[in-house]
Amino acid sequence: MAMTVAGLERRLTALLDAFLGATLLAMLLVIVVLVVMRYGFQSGLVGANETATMAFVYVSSLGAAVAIGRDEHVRVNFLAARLGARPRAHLQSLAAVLVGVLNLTLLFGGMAWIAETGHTPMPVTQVPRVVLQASIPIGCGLAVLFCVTRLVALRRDGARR
Amino acid sequence: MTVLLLVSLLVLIALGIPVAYSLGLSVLLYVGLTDAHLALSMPVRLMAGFNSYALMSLPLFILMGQLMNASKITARLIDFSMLLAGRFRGGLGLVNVLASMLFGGISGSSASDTASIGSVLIPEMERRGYRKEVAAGITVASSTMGMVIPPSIPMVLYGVVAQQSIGRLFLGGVLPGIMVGTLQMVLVRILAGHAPVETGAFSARVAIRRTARSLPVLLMPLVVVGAVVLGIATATESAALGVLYAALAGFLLTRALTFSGLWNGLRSSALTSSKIMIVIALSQAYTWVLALERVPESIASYVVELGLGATGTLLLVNLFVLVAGTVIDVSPAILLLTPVFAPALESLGVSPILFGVLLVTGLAVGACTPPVGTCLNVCAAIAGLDIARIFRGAAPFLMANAATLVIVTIFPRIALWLPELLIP
Repeated sequence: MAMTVAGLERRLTALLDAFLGATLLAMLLVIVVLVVMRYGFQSGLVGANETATMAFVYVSSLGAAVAIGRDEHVRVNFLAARLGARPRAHLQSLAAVLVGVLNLTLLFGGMAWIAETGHTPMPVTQVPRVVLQASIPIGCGLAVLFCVTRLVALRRDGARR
Repeated sequence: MTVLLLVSLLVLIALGIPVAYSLGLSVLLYVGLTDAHLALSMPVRLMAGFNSYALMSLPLFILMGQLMNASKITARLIDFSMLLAGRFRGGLGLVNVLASMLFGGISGSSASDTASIGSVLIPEMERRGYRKEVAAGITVASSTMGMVIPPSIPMVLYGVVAQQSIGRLFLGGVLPGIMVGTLQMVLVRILAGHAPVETGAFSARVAIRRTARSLPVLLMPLVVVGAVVLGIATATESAALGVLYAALAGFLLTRALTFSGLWNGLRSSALTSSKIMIVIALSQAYTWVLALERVPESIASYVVELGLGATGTLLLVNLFVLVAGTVIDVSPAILLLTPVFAPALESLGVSPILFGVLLVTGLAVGACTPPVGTCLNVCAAIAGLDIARIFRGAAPFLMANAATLVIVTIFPRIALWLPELLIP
């Protein structure tokens, strides 16, 4: 069971990793084209800023979830580094639970927010806001999933010890 | 409630919960105890944090630095620095500082400066008779310039949080950054003066060839910072142009960049920037709650009541920033300290540009001090030394940073002259 979870986590992380790289590339290209159009052709690119912003928000939201899976978020390990293996594992489990609870709250709050305002269009592209707003519940949902896989991994490591 | 907000944050951070989520959990605890309905507005705060055009420059500046690293430009910068400083006693130490100064104008990040310069120069300095902790110490201390000399990722962060012109902040960092480097070179000359002369004199032909080889790399900061300062492009657009420049330099000039290197850079930059962005987004929720509790106003009135004047208060804030930098990473420190101190200092007539420059210069020292110094950890991995020994090696050279902080606080024109001259 734990091995299956680890395999699924690896595949999901690889998929999201590729998505992040491709989305950042798209954002970069939109900005470069915008500058080239402005100075090369004295023209603009309708909706370029909104499109680039959307790409950036998805990179930030989904990237934060991937960083939970990889345990790469900025933290102060001063106390944890001084603890033995077992208390450190308990502390890491507590951290995973708390981060999961926060993301679950943001997930539900995000869905309520979308239900209220998601149908309104964005000013330039006229794309419904839900396309942008959905990045929050999707990112938070993935973060909750990665918190669960962290807990499974910590439990597996504990059983091995 | 204010005490609960601050204590809960410190406890959560001390427990090892990621800084971003410690901020979010403190806010959740606060709204849970005051008005649970406010929790529903947290996703809106999160989106407000993510949804910033200026912050789009973050992943692009990170990518620019990574592509320059992958393009193996370090060797060219070291060659060029050798030309200028290699003939003096302690020359490799001077070359290390000079190369960091030039690299700081390209990468915008101290950690990548430590990694790329350290991996080449630490073994070479050790081979030429420098003690390893001194070589590692000079590398770490000189990498602090990466944050101060533009383009600088921490300056972008400060600019967004304090709503200040990023172009003016970039310019504000130029002279203090050069001052840090110059003072560090003086210290290297004094402390490592017994080291042998590294090179003889260069022929004019060698000097011209090395300069020509380095020129495209040396021009890069002028292109990136110049575009912002001259109003040709926004910080985000100039970062995108910087990425394009770095990619072209890597593919066509050094021919060391590959498509897989580009792809790895894209993936890694996206992940690195999202780790900063989630701190930014949740710190905005935290500062929103601080504002509800009127914390910035309380601190501002307390600071004014202290009666220390602008310079005295700024010196005190510098000391606080140096201490805070030892336990908290640069980005979260900027996001937490700016909303707390900026209004107080502004009420005393301190320029927000000056505070930004001092904040970043002070926090850069924190990146070289235990227990959370990012540059120390990067250097430990490269040099194979423990961080305490590297810090002992770096400490004398970090005095240059401390001296710069004091001098710029007393003579603010050093930071403000260039921005006022070029962006009135």
